[in-house]
Amino acid sequence: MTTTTPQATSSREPRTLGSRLGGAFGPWFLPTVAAVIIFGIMVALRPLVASPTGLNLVLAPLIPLIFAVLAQMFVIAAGDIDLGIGSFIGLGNVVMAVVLPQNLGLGLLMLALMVVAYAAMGVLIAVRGLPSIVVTLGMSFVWLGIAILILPTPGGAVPAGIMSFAKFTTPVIPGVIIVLTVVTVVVALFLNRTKYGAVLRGSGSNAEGVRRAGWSVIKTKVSLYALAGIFGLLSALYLSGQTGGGDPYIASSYVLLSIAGVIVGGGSFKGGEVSVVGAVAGGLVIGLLGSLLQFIGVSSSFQAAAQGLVLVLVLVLRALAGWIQKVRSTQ
Amino acid sequence: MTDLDTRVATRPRTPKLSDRALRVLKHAAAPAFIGMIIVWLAIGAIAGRGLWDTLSAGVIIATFLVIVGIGQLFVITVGNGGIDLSVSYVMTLSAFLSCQIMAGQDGNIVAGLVGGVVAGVLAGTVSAILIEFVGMPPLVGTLAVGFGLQTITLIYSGSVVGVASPALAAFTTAQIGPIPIFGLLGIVIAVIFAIILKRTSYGRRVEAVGQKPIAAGFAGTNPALIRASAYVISGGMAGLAGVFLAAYSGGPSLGLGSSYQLASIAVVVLGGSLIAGGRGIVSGLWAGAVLLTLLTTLANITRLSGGWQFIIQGALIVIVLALSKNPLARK
Repeated sequence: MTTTTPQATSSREPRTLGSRLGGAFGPWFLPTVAAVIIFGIMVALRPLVASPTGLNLVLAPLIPLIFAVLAQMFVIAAGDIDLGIGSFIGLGNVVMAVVLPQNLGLGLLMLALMVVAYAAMGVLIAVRGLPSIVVTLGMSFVWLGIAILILPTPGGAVPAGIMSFAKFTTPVIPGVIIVLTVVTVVVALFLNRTKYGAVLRGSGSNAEGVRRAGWSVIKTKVSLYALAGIFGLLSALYLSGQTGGGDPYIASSYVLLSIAGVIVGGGSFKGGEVSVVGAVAGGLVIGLLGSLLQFIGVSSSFQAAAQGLVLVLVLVLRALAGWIQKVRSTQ
Repeated sequence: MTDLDTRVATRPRTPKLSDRALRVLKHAAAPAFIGMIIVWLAIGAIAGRGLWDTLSAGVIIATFLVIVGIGQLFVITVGNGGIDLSVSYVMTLSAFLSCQIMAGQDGNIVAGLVGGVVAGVLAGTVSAILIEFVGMPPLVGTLAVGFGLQTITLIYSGSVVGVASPALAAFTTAQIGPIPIFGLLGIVIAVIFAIILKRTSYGRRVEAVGQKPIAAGFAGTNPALIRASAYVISGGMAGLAGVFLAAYSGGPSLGLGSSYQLASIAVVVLGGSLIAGGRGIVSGLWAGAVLLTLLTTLANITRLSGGWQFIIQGALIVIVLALSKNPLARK
């Protein structure tokens, strides 16, 4: 289809602006550029940021957020939205800081059960046709409640192994770059280059098509929610390793930030339309924006608002681009 | 037109009018009322407190939830994935605004109430525009407005020291004989909105749009406008609840509305309204609000940890959703 016949070009000609705008807001190009620009501004403000140590310092806090964004991306790929990922990561953090050091077996069992519970949540949403927003919001209180039962006030001590794992780095290439690259490549290859990856992406946009092709829609939902759970725990792993302690509320801001990351990264709420590279870049944009605001001395209470504003702005611009495209194509 | 309206108005019920008790039990609001009575009796049995005192205290505190919940019910009932995640922020902002207007003077009660409600209506209008005319998903539109309001409140609350009018504060706890006036107000508001939803042309349109927007459109209703109106109502109701709650709790605080976000959705679900939209049950919502309030009382008198309260509230909403009738459920 990419080989354009003269007719196709002529019909596409009048809406170059629209399609160019649409293309610019497409999967991964724009968020990557935005992330690079924000990073460039930070380097311009503080040149030390570009050094390996600086990179580690600036990017390390973003690693847990990127994992949360990827977890959210799997749920959005299923056509759903996850409002519970923040509390889930908080519970993971508490288990790693309190249960794991005392009883390794029990801690690992709890973490495994958490992933199973996430998958079960996917089954419930798929089988009963429930709105994911309400179910995940309800479950977020369950995760939070369990975390508070285990650890009423912030505390605990994360095992040294997790801490050294999270702080892994090499003298030449900063550890954060390695982690980011490996995760992005592995997830992107899985979703974009494997057969099951295509089925998973398809289940959100065209569940009926996936069903008719002989795949179980419920199984795809279970897979996506289980993946979300696993990436939520990876986020908790890095968060625990970096902070060294447990706090049920540690990741509460990740709910909005992860959704914003996926959407800024070119994802769509219609489901199926997600880009792994875009989501990682979107997470970087959202996270770096927070660091940049901190750099220029904006109070932390306004950071959430600024990050929310970026989300709204992207959606408004995208609606505008879609609208321009529609107007041009109908003319 | 009228023919169609009446047809929509009659809910599918068992035609057997003879078995009245069964009909009452089969009503969608019945589980909420039964649950409310069970918890009420349980408190009486455990605490040995007067049953009437327990109920009247519960009904007073539930009224805030009833008022917010009704707004949420309208948003959920218009369907299209409608949900209002800004109510807690609207409540907090309205609380600060109304207390500044009232400034501890009884003469300013009306101005304070109007100010709080108008602020909520404005917030709801912005949500409605973002969702229905920009095309954002309800989750993102209301969350974006919520974060905007949170920022406004953060900036604004630093400069005001507002006090609610003493008369309004007294009103929220006043009693005529054994009957709490504020609790009565909650019932009156619930009855008014039940009549609006079930007996007026507007209310029938709200449910019709939630059931089949296209059919409602053919019947001469503008679905986008009806949906937009629901967000405006929700904003106004949240504003009203914020004013009353500030008066009741002696003054505004930044965390004033936070517990009402999940609770406002929970009472809609508990009350037997369809989460997918198309059927709103205000009587069930009232019972659900009293049930939730009494559950908190029960948790407090049995000295249950705060963690358990979160778990119970979260699990309750998920379990009720899982068990409730749902037209979207897979067979």
